[in-house]
Amino acid sequence: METIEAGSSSGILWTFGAYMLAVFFLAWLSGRVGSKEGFVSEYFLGSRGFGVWALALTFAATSASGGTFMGFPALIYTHGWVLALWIAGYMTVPLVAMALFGKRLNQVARRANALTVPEVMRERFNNKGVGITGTVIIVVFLFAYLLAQFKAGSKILSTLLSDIEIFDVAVRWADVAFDGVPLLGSAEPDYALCLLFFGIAVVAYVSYGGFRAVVWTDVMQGIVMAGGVLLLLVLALYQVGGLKKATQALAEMTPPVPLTAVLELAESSDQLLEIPKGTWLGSVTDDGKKTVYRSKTTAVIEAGKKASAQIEMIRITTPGEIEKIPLPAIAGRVNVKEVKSTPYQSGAGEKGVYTRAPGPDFKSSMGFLAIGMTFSFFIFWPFAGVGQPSNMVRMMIFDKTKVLRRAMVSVAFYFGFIYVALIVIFVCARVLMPGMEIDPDRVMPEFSTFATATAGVPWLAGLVVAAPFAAVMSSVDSFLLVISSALVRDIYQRNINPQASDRTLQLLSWAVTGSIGILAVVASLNPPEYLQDLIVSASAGLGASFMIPMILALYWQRMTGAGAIAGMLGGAGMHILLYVIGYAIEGRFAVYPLLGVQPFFWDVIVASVLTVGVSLMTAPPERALVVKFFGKRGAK
Amino acid sequence: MSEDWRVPAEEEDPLLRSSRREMKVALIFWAVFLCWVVGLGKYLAYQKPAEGEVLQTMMGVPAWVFWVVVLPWGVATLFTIGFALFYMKDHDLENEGKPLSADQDQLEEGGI
Repeated sequence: METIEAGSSSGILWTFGAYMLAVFFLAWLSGRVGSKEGFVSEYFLGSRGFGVWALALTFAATSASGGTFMGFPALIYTHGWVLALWIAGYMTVPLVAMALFGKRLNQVARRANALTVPEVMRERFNNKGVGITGTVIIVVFLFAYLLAQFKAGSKILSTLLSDIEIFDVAVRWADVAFDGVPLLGSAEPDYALCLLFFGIAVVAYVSYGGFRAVVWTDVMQGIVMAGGVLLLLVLALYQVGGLKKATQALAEMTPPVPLTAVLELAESSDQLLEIPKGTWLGSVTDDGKKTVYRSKTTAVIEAGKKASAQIEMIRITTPGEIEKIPLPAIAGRVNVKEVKSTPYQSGAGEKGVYTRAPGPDFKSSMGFLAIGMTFSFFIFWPFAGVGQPSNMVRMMIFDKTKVLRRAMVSVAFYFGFIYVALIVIFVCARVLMPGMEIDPDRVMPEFSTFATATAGVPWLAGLVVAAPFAAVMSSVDSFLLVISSALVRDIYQRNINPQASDRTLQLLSWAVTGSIGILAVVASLNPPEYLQDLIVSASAGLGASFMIPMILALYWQRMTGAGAIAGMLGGAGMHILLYVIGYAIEGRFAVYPLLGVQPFFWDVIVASVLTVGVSLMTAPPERALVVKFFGKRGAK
Repeated sequence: MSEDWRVPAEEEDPLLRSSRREMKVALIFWAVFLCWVVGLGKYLAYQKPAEGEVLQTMMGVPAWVFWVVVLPWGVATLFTIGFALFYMKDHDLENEGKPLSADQDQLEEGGI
């Protein structure tokens, strides 16, 4: 068989291996030095005594998930500078998230002696129903989120390790070993192998080290993310010749044309010919007119035949790019016969679409970011972030407000640097590395490899690609712990066996963390379609369910337990309803954008109306309860 | 309706009162930047250039990105630093976990 493929550096493996060893070492160390004040408090909250850098970096690393380093770069590459407007709401996140909840949530959690978000809600209203409702919402939405992150982590790992000899050997072994094994056998062997490794690694260090391990590894992962981004920023700007040059080049670009085509040989071959995904093809006419295509899927021309089946491709349309792309030898043998082209719905053939709003879009004639969506995302980023239980828990881990104030400054710098740098990097990537529209989700690892190889330091790609992996890992470990704390602390200890010994809780916590990890691995072997949409949906659903009930629980004396339950269920219910309507209209997993804005906006309105309305309709809370959470210390 | 349940403003915990003040500032801060980014963005970012018009850049980015994203992001970061270092009040949190009064003891024993 004849195949055309690219190489890779095994230096990546060593750099990445060193990173993984550091993660395990930190987890082991955290397990050794953890406070002895009680298993549950230590395991789920690290005994509440973390410092500035721990708080800042665990907050930032948990907020930045696989989406930040995989999905966001893909969007910048595909739609251009408009992504600066899309992410702009993040400029308010450090202040809004930390000022709204930081001090007050920490105080209420301490007065309630609560370790988890549902426990804070339950104790604030002295109402079991509030705690159970919160727990169920967390488990349902966060598990969906967890699946998507497991998938992202495994995809990054398989991209990183592809073409490395030892990994290829392992994949061949896995292909044979997994054959016929239920679930495992039906997954791609490289993906299944990476998923198993990723699952075992995360479950092992979270189970062993608990919250302290999660925070300590988050700190390292936060540093790795910033280091990787800084390195890539320098390489990208140097290679493109400065930001102004990149912007001016981008202004001349036009979106590619997606199409289906058949690949034809002039004469049939006696060998099977496989042309992998990502191969450049095209032709130059006698009068010098060059046409360039890139394959989105692998094409196979059987021995003795002259043409492949139909495959998906893109045709490059920017003259500067067409001139720059060298056609490989195989292009001289293969002719591309276009069958059907589907130009972008917005921005096709228009220069300047990558440098202004709403940005080019393949699916929507409104462009990528209509003004209503800009407004929606400016609400979504700070407030959906505020409402994430994994972020709220981080507001409960410090013991001095000075720590919170300094962490806020650090997070402001961190977010400003990371997001602005990512936009600049992938604007440069769009100019330097054309044709990634075939698989934009791979643009981060691909550009890391490209930029480090061009600079003559290919081994550094391991460090750069460790950044998105660190982002995924730091989110997965936090979600895993939030789910297991919800089940062990909120369901078992608070409702089933309040007298459970530390040993019992320890064993149960390990068992639950392990079981959730196994379930997530099994479910991720054949992940459902539209998984990226599921991430957005799950995080918005969590934010919608918790943000308003929690804000009002902290600041409004008149709020009642019934109001809290109504608000949480209302936010979650409205969110699900808009997806059900979207499914009914489009026949696929999609949200119904009522009046053109993000569903989160409507979820929050419903949650607010129900929390306030039901609280006012039910009897006022007991005075002792209000005094406990709103009065001065020692007040009666 | 009886208001016996309410804790009067003067008896509210100082941390709660400072947090509530800070929350209001945070929400005003967010609203101001919403107006800046979305309001100005609508006029600058969505304009189609006239035929032959050259893209205006500032510091290497399209001019609208500078006025609508880069500049407000810088101002928001400075404001956040000022807020955290000079406006936000410090409170003692370490002693918050202790029981407060006989009422709370009753609450913990009997429940409500």
